[in-house]
Formats: sequence, C-alpha cells, structure tokens
Amino acid sequence: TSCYPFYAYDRPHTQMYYSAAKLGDQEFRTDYLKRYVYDCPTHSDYIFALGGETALSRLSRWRSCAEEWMELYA
Amino acid sequence: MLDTPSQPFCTLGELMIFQLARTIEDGVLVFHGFGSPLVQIALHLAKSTHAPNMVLVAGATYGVNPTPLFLTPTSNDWAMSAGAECSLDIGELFDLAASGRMGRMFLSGLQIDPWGNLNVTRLGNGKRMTLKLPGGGGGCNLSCDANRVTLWTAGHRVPPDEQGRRRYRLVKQCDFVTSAGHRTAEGLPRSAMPYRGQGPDRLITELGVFDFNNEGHARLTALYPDTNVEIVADNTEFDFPLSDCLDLASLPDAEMVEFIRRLDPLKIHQRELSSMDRQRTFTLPGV
Repeated sequence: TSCYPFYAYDRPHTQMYYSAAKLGDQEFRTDYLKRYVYDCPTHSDYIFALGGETALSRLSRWRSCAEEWMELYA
Repeated sequence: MLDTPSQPFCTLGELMIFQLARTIEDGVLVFHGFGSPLVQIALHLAKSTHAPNMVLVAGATYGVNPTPLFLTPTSNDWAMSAGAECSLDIGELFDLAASGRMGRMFLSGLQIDPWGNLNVTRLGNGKRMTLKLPGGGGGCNLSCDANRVTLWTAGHRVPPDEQGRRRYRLVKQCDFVTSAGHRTAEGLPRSAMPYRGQGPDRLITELGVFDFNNEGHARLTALYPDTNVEIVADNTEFDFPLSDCLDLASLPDAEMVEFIRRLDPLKIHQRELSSMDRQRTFTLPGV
C-alpha cells in the first residue's frame, strides 16, 4: 500500500501478492509469506526483500511529475 | 488527442460519462462511492462544465473538490484527493447526508428492479443464498438520505446462455433490497417511508437512459445511436413504459471528450465495459 507523501502504491508487488493468494494456502505460504514475512524479522529485512532503496526510490518518483506518477500504474 | 477533425467521435464510455454528468445539478453536494471510474470522471466533467458550483466529494478519500492529475485504477488512492480543499471523515459525510445536505449520490447494483431498488447483498431467495455479494457499504443509508440518486450499470446487456437463459441485471424483483428505490419490497410507495431523499430519478446503462415516471417506475427516455427499444427490452426482465419524449441521447461535444481523455489517460474507465462495448463509437455531431 501507499504512504504518501513518501511512496506511492507498489502495484507489481500488490499483483504478486494477489497472484500468490489465488494459488491457495500452501503456495501463498511459500511464495509470499516465507519471503516477505517469515524470513523478515526486522523492517529493514522487509525493505531489502522488496528491493531495497531501488524500490523505494522508484515508488517515490511520483513527486517528480505527473508522467512519472502515472508510470507507476502502468 | 482527438482524431482528425473530419472524424471526431466519442466512445460508449465517454457517452455514458456525459449522460451521468448531465444528471448533476449545479450548486449541490455530489458524492460517489468506492470504485466507479465512469462516475468519478462524470463528477469532474460536470464540475468543469455545467455545474461549476457543485461540491464534489470524492468517494473513498472524501476529498472535497479535488483536482486529480489523472484517474487512478483504484478510487482509494490519495492521488484522487490531490488539490482537495479539505477532506471529510466518513462520519461527517454521512452526517451531511442525514441532515439533508447531500444533493446527489450515484449507485449501482447486480440487480436493479423497475422501482430503482438495488441488490448488492445476495443472490437467492429466502434461506437459499446462491451467491454472497460485496454488500452495500453506505448505499443503504445514502439511498434514503441523498436528495436524488443516479443509478447506473454497464451490465444491462445479458446475452442468453446455451440454454437460452439470461441472468438479467434489470430484474422484475431484487432477491434482496440493499438500497431503496420508489417502492419497498413489500410494495409500499416510497412516500410511506420516512426517507429524507426523493430517490432515484435516472438510470443510465450501456443501452439507454431511463427516468422514473410519476408512479416511480423506470421509463425509457433515450436510446443510443446503435440501440433500439427491442434491444433494450430483450435485455430487461421487466416491461417498461416509453417516454413521450423518447429520443436519441445527446452526445458530448469535442471539448468534453478531450477533457475525459485528459483526465483518464490510462483509460481506467474502460475496465467497466465489456470488450464489445469498448469498441462502440459515435460520430460527434456538428463538426
């Protein structure tokens, strides 16, 4: 989810979450929960799993201009 | 960017947005709920054209008179509140409605009956529920409190299945009444109920436009250039009267179309339309 003004929605990640959830309990545990929850004891670990500063930088580009903002929804 | 001057056109989505916008009076507070790009754009179109003094309250974010740069895929995105004069909280929004200060609300349903009752709660009668629907959110309250309601659906057309059956959207009777129209499930007129608002006065679909007659029954009042009464009737479970003024629905002008395309460069509103309906276009008049 977004947290304006810091970062916009991470739509690729949301789509991945949705796709993993649709596969069922077992797949959701292995494809999503293990990677982004169970193996992330700290917030920093979670940010790293998401793609670290590169990902955060991409999501914060919404401030640059409308085109950059729209690009995050493509 | 519109097409070359010799062939300006609008799409069905743009036509529906224009028809939705036309239902809005200037100077009133207008609200849309979660997740309806067609209606979101219609509110902005109305405010930028014939209703500059309307108070636009964005659904989900409750931003007042926002000026978003572009339409986002979800209505619950802070981007849709950009430029807002202020934001309400949900309690304030419902207080406004309950105190009679919401001029118009927009609602839809999986079932819409001839009296403008809506069902977004469940399919199946009595104890046998066949499908649980998302629920009405604030629609039940607001259908009673908002002064006027515009109903709409992009699912009016229902082709028959292999057995020739149709799962109508416009039904004779809703399996459950989530939001109130002009007659209760028990057959009482709206006037017998202590509702503040006057109920729905328009139903906009991808096949035509209805208003509601003096009895509160849906009445076909306008068709689109590529539809006719038979097509509308085939896709409607209930019989409906025809307005004495039945005519072709007016189309947006080129500036309005350009406004819509500028506000929705990602074409989010087309997601509400079937693949067939996305292909429907209409030449703009007078050019």
